[in-house]
Amino acid sequence: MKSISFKMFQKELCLSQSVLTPLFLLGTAMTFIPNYPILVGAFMVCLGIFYSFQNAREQQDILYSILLPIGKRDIVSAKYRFVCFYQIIAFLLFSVFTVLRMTLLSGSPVYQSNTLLLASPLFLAFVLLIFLWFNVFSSADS
Amino acid sequence: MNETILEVKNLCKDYESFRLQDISFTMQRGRIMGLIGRNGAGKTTTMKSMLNMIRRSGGSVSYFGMDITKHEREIKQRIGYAGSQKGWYTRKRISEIGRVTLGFYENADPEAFAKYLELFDIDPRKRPFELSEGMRVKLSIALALSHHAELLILDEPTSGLDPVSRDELLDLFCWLRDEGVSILFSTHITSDLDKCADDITYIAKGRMLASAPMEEYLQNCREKGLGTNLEEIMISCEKEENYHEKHLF
Repeated sequence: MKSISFKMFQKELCLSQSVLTPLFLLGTAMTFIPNYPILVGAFMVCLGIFYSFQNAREQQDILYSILLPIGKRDIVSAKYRFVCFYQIIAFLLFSVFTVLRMTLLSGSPVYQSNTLLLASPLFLAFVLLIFLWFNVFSSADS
Repeated sequence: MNETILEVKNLCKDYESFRLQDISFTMQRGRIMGLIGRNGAGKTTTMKSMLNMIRRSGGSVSYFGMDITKHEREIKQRIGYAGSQKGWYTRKRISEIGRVTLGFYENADPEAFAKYLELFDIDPRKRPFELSEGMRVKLSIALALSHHAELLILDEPTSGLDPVSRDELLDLFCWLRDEGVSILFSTHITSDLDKCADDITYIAKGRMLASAPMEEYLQNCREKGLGTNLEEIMISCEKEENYHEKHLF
C-alpha cells in the first residue's frame, strides 16, 4: 500500500510538472564551460522548477489536489518534496561535475586561463545560496 | 430510502464585497437537487464552502453523518466533483489522469473507469483539451463514478453546452439517480431542472430563499401567482426583491 506522500509525489511528477524541469537539469553541465558565468546553471535549475509551478497553476493543479481524499497539508508537503527532489539532484550533479573538473580536468589549459569562477567548493556554496534565494523568495511570493 | 447524505446548516462566508448568509438544506440519498440562482448569487461559494475548498465564516457541513472539518478524507473518498471550468491537466492523456487519480481512492475501480469512458464515448488516449465541454464534464463524472462516489457535486455542468449535449447530460443524471447516486448541481439554466430535479434550493444575493421538493415549491409559487415554471418564478423573484420574505416564508 503506497503512502499518500508517495502518491502525491507521483502526482507531482506525472501530472503537475513541466517537461522543462527535468530538461533544465542539463544546465548543471554548464559547470564545465570555461570563461563562462557557470552559476547560470543553478539559475536554470530554479527556472525549471518555476515553470512547473507555473504549469501547475495553469492546469488548476491546486483545485484538482484539494478535491482528492487527502489533507491540505499533504498538498503543501508534496510541493516542498518536489522542489527538494530537483534541488538535491541538481546539487549532486553539480558536485560530481565539480569533482571531475578538479581532478581529471584540473590540468586542462582552458581552466588554467579561466578568469571567471571555476567549479570548486566555493562554486558549490554559491549554488546553495542561489537555491536558498529561490526558495525564500518563491515561498514569500506564494 | 430516506437517508440524509448531506446536511448544510447555517453556512456563512464573508468576503469584503459579498456575504453568503445562513444557507441550510439537506439532501436525501438517490435524489437530484438543483441549486439555482442568478449569476453571482453565491452558488459556487456555497459549493466551495461545502467542499472545504474555502474557509467558512460560520455554519457546519456534514456528509453521511460526518462533519467535513473532522472527516475530510473519509468524505472525499465518497464524493465526486465536476465544475464548468476548462478542466485540469488538459495536455495529459486521459488514461494517465485516470491512473494517477484513482490511485488515491480506496474503492478505485480502473475497469469501471474504462467502462464509463467507453459508455461516454471518450478515447482514453486523447487529452482533455481535445474534448468538448460536455465531454469534459462526462470525463469528470466518469472519474467520480470509478471510485463509486455516492454523491456528485457539479458546479454549473450544463453551462456553455449546446441543447443536445445538455439533454444528454441530463439523461445521464437521471440514469445515475436510478443507480442510487445523489447529485447536487448548480445552474442558472432553470429548464435543466424541469427535466430531472427532485429538490430545489434557491439562492439570491447570498441568501437562501427556498429549499424544498420541486413539486411542492412549484405549487406554492403557482398559488402565490409567481409563475408556472422555474424560469417565470425566478424572474418574478429577482425583479421583486424580498418577495419570498414577504409572501412565502
